[in-house]
Amino acid sequence: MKKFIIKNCIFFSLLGVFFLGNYNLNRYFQSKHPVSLPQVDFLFLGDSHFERGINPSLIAKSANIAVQAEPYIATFHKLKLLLRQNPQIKTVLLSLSFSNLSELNEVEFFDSDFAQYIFRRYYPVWSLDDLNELKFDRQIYYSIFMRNMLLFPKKHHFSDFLGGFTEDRKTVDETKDKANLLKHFVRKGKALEVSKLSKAYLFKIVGLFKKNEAQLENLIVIIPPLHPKYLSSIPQNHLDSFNQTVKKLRESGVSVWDERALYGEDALFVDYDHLNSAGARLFSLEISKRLHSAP
Amino acid sequence: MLFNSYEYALFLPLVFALYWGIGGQKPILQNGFLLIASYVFYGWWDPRFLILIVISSLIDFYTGLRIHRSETPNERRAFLALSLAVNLGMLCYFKYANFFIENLNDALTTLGFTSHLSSLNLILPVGISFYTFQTMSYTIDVYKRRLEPTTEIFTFLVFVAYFPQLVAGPIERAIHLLPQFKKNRYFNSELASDGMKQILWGLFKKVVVADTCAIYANEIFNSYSQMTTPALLCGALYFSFQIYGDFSGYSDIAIGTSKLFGIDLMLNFKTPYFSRDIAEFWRRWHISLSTWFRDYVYIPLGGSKLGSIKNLRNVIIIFLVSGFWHGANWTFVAWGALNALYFIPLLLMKKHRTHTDTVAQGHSLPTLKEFFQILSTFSLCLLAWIFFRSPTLEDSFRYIQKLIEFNMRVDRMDLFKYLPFIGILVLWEWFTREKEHGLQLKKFPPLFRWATYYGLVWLICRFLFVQKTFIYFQF
Repeated sequence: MKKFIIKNCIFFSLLGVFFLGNYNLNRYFQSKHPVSLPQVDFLFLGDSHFERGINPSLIAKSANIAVQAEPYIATFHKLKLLLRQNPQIKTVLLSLSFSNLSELNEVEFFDSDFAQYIFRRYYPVWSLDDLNELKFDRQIYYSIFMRNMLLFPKKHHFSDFLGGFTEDRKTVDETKDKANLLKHFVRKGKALEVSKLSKAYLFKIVGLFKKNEAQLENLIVIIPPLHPKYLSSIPQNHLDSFNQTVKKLRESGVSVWDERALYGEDALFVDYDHLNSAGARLFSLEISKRLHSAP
Repeated sequence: MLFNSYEYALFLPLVFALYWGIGGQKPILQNGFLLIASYVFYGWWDPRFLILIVISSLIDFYTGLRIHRSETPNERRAFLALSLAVNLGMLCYFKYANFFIENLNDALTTLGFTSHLSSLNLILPVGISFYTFQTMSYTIDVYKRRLEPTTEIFTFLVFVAYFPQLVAGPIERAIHLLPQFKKNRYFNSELASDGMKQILWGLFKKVVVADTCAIYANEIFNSYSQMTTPALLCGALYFSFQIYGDFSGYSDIAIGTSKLFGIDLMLNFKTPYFSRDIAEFWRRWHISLSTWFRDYVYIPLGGSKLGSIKNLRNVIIIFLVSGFWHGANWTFVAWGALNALYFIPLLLMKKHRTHTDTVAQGHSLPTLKEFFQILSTFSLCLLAWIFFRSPTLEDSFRYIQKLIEFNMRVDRMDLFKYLPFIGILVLWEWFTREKEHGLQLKKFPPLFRWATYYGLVWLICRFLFVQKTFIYFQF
């Protein structure tokens, strides 16, 4: 028995040393290779609504780092890290749509279809303490953490979560898109609630701006354009909660630009809740005009 | 609890320490720990279904004793019937009820009747096909007077619920397993070390081979209508290694784990893809199930002793039943029927016992004849796996139809990129085919052995949780 235990202890200790060495090297690389953003005045953050809808080449001195399906819990930690490493960021423009406050954002953490992608993107900015306040798939989180931090030294850890503008020339296809009209409010036949956690994190993001972290001067929340069919399909509880949130944001001194009903033509949308490249062009020019005319 | 989970990585050392530390060498304490551990292991998935295991165990314990004590054949038969009715009843209800309802509805509709039978909302209890078969073998053996029933209830409970093989086998026989729970067990360092290596090899087959093959197999089978012949062939190949890696990997982990507790489980896979004919394949694939059907269905039906027609009938029955055991779907029955079709010519020519040894024993390479025999047997298996993997019979036939269109265009090179890894596995298995598992590497220097172990651990960590569950859990 003694021999067996000693042999196994040696085997697993050597493995532990290997893992620990890689972990420390990866932590070192994370601190040595921070995310450096270009010198811009306007930073667009959020999910697919900005990823598809904001073309930064049409807005002077701007960068778009929105990425699809980004929940606010991720945006909060991402922004915190970016502000620490890029004190030049002065104005952040955050996308706020109905999908951002849906329970779907919480499902992403335990549904294996999503969790793989979410953890792969954000493992460098999340600690277990951050995640413990929500239900999440621990096996997937640990395996992704292990794969990226313990198995080999990796120089660049932050590349997946930066995102950026994605052009899509497709237009609304009623036969296909109609089936997905309620995708943010119903999943696998079950109605999704409003996510309290997502709301809390939205106000935590506002808190970053209020605390004036790293000289962040301005936070503008933008409600991106949505197709009239999408707007008319939103369940009442989601609509009420959303409008209350907007009201609360305004009361706390945040500028909210409500552009949800800006466009209605099929030709400007990829599907019922995302702009296509033509829509993105119009919307980006509109935002640019407003940004550069603002005092 | 899954073998490839973090919970199990904590659970196993804890049970091992308690078993040998507190349990010492007293069978009562050791069995007590194993029983608690087994119920925790099973209850981790859904504690409600523990009740089924307990019911099945208690009834078989009781009927075993009553069969033994009964003085009249009728009474003995009645208690055997009770045991079989409870076990098969549970199995049929949870596994096949919806299948029968759907088929009855279809049949009635075809005959012009309106059927109002609706499907039942049932969850299939994990491992039910395995533990019911294990407990039935106990009562049948007692009935046949091949085995004295045990009077120790906890020994019997742990025999049924023993966690390494509870949910996906090997399906053990009471004759082999039960006496091991009764005698003193002493720690054997060499056996435990070999167990650790077998667990590592099993994890490698499951996590690195099966789970990665599953990604490609799923993609190809889910969109087979858009695939060309090379991709479809590749899909069948991926699935054949997915199911082999998944199931034989599970068996290796189960057997390896059991070695840590000083308990021997039967071998379940013996490099089946190196078989020279389909009869040999069935002597090497899921051995515990094939021998179960041989001993408890084929032989009671008369086996080969009642003439060639009845023998043929019996062979067809066991292949069909074996297919149906895998799942409540006609695709599994077709898979069984196809295997019967492969087997029957060998039986008629009396060549089904030609290859009972390991191929190319003592040689590093097979002869050209052996090579082609292996290749043709594997091709037959590949064809049968299409039925096994497809969701419906119609899909299986369409898949095969697309496959034989011989459209040799290669649209997606990425679908082929895992094939070299399968090649490496095949080569490794070939050179260790006479061993119990792929990591019995005694003749190699320690440095090579340790480098191999570390390499495998690294690969397992790299591929962990691409896909989580074991295919055979659903059976």
